[in-house]
Amino acid sequence: MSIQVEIVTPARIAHSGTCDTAAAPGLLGEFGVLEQHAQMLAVTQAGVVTLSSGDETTKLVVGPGFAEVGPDRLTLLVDHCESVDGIDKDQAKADLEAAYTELSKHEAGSEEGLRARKEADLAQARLQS
Amino acid sequence: MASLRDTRRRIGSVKNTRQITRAMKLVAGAKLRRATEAATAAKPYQQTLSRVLTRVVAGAGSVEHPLLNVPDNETDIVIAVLTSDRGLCGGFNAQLLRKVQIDVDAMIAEGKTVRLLAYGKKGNAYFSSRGYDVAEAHLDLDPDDYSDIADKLAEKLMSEMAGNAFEKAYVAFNDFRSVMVQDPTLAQVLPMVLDTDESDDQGGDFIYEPDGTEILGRLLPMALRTQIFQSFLETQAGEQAARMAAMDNATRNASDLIDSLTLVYNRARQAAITTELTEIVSGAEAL
Repeated sequence: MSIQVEIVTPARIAHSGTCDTAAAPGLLGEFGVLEQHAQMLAVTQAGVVTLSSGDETTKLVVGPGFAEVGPDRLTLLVDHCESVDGIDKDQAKADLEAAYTELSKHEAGSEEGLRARKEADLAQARLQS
Repeated sequence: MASLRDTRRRIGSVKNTRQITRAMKLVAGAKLRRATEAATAAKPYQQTLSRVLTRVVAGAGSVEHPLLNVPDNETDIVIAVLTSDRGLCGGFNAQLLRKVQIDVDAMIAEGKTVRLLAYGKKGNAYFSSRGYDVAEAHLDLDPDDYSDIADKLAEKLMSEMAGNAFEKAYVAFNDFRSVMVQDPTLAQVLPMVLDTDESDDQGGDFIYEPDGTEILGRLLPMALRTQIFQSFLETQAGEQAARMAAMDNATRNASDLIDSLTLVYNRARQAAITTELTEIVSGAEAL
C-alpha cells in the first residue's frame, strides 16, 4: 500500500521514493494523498511536503508549482525543493524580514515585488517546517 | 628551401600548438560531460510539464490564454540569438548565425522589423558588425546562471507581449542532437504553439484544483521558461561538443604536419651530410 512520489525541479529530480501517505500545500489548502486517489491536477504554493511511511516521516520544503496525482503516484513539479534538515531557522527568519522590507518598497505586481513575494513565501515555508 | 634550423623551429612551434589544442580538447570534454549532465537532469521536469500541459489542453477543449493569442502587432519580430562567448569551436556559431541571417533577411524583405537579443559574444559581434539592430547584448554568460538568465528573458518576452511589442518571438540556438550533430534551430516561443496532436492516453476524468483555466495560466509561463532554459543548456552542450571535435581535428592535423615536417627535416639533413661527404672525397682526390 504505497504511492510513488517524485519531486522534480528544473535542475534535477529532487526526491524520488515511495510512501504510504503524502501531504502537499495546494493553492486552496493542504491536501493529502493516499493510494487510489482520484486523478487530479493541482496548483501548489510554497510550503512543506510531508511524506509518511509507517513511523517514518520525511519533510521537504518546496517552492510553488504543480502536483499531478494518480492512483499510485504523486508527481510534484516545483521550482525549488530542499530537505528540512539543512534549514537554519534564524536565517529563515532574517530572510523573511528582509523579504518583507523589500516587498514594502516595491509596487505590488512589479517584477521586484513578485520576486520578494516569492522569497517571503519560501522563508515562511522554511519557518513552518 | 628552408634551412635546417628553420624547419626544426617550425616543428617545435607546431608541437606547441598541438599541446594547446590537445589540452583544449580535454577541457572541452570535461565541460561537455557536465553540460550533458545538466541537460539530462532538466529533462524529467520538461517531460512531465509537457505531459501535464497536453492533458490540460486536451481536457479543456478550447483554449484561451494571452500567451497563445497573436498580439496586435504585424511588424515587429524579436529573436534571441544564443551563441557561445568563445571561438575555436569549429562551425558551431557560424552555421547558426548564417541560418539566422538568412531568416532575418527574409523577414526584413517581408517588411518586418527585426530586433535581435544577443546572448553570447559571437552573435553580438556578427550582427553588430553587419549593421543589424542588436537591441541587447548579454555577454560572458556563466552556465550556473542560465536558469536566472532564462527566467529573465521569459519575463521580458511575456511583458513585451502583453504590451503588443512584437508579433512573434523566436529563440535561435543550436539543438544538441549528439556530440557530432548540432542542429541550428529557430524556434518560435511566443505566441506559444501547443502540440495538441498527442492523444490523451491516460483517459479518465481529472479533478482540477483550482480550475483548468487557472492551471493553464500557471502552466504556460512555466513551459515558456523551461523551453528557453532548455535552449541555453543545449547551446552550452553543443558548444563544448563542437569545441571538442574541432580541437580533436586540430590535434590530428598538427600531428600530420609534424610528421611531414620531420620528413622534410630528415631529408634536408641527409642532403647536407651527402654534400659534405662529396666535398671531403673530392678534396682528398684533388691532393
